[in-house]
Amino acid sequence: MDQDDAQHHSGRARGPGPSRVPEDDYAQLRADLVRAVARVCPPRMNDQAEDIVQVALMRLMEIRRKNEGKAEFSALYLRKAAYSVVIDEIRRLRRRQEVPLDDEHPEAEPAAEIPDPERQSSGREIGAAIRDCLGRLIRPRRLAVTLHLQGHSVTEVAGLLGWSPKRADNLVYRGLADLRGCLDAKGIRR
Amino acid sequence: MMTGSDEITRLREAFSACDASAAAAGNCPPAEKIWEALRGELPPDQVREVVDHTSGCASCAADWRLAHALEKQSGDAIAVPEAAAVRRARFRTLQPWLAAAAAVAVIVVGVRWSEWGVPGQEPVLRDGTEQTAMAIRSLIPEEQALSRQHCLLRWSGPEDAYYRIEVSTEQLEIIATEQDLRTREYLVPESSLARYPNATKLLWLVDAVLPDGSRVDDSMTFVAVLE
Repeated sequence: MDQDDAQHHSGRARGPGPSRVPEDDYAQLRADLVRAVARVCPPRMNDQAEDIVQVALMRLMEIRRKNEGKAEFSALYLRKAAYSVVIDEIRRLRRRQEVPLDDEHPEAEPAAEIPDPERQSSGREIGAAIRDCLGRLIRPRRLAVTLHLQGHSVTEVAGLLGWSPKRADNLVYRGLADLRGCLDAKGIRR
Repeated sequence: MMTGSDEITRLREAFSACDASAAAAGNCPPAEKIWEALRGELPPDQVREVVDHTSGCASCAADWRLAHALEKQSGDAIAVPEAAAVRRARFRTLQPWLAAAAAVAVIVVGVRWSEWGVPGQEPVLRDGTEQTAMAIRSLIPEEQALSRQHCLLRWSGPEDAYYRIEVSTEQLEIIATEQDLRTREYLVPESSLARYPNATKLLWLVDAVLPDGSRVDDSMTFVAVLE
């Protein structure tokens, strides 16, 4: 626990109150964030997951301190705020990684050290083809298939997009058929 | 009705594979908006905007998945969108009336169903790949604009079938529907098109019921444009 956390910890009252979320909630949030970041972010960022979350939570602590006594932070708000600062941090790192890799950036990871670079390249190519094909679908199908590819069930697709389950099912089904046809036309093997 | 689960898994993996160094597509929504969209805290049209963006922006798609993963880990189900919750609440208050209407509808559908197929036989849904000979195809070139005074949609399909057609906007607002068509064409009523501006895109799809009760319902959704 860093100094800021220790100071906060020593001065807090027991139980939740205005701007006082139980320490357990923070610990759980931290663990959830690290797991989520490690799961979703690319392998290159995996070893940075802890750092990303740590930086984000420190920023969150700062926000809380500035709002001490002014606002009540529910666990739900905290989760949303934590997500936002994590994304900000990830986006910042992404912008840094967009810098061309050349001799001036010795910290860049050589391709030879990337595990199975050929497979990763193939995956990226298929992913790019999928995005191109999604762009060619009519919008309702594109929305439905995008969410389905993001891991949402048909029921969730319906709820998120404000459609009936039957309509969502139809659009996911037909959209996937269109996607398959497009990928076949590109000669993409799945 | 769905594709094999293995294929879906592979497609999902590939879809998330290219975000390692993908540059943002530009006009990326703020993180809060992605969060709120995922949790159903935005109106459906704004959710659709965010989702549409993620379909082409690998970075934001990853941000969406991160929010999704975080929500799953918290144990919260994806929040039921407010609109859907409101609709369900309204439905509950309307239930007695709807029950009566549904009873009438069941009687009507039952009569029509017995006229359509072999009595007592459930219609068989066919997989589209087995029905290439029965495929329904549009006979309207997509680039051909149709006048609202004579918006005739035509298609090819199996003989002796009853057809059902549904015409909507890109926002899935239903413009017109018709069923029990014996001809392979449908003239969209001019009055149904009156409120839509020129160059409105019309989405239309056609299903067919064959004499033996089986259905062909895997046609593509076709696109037409109002001139």
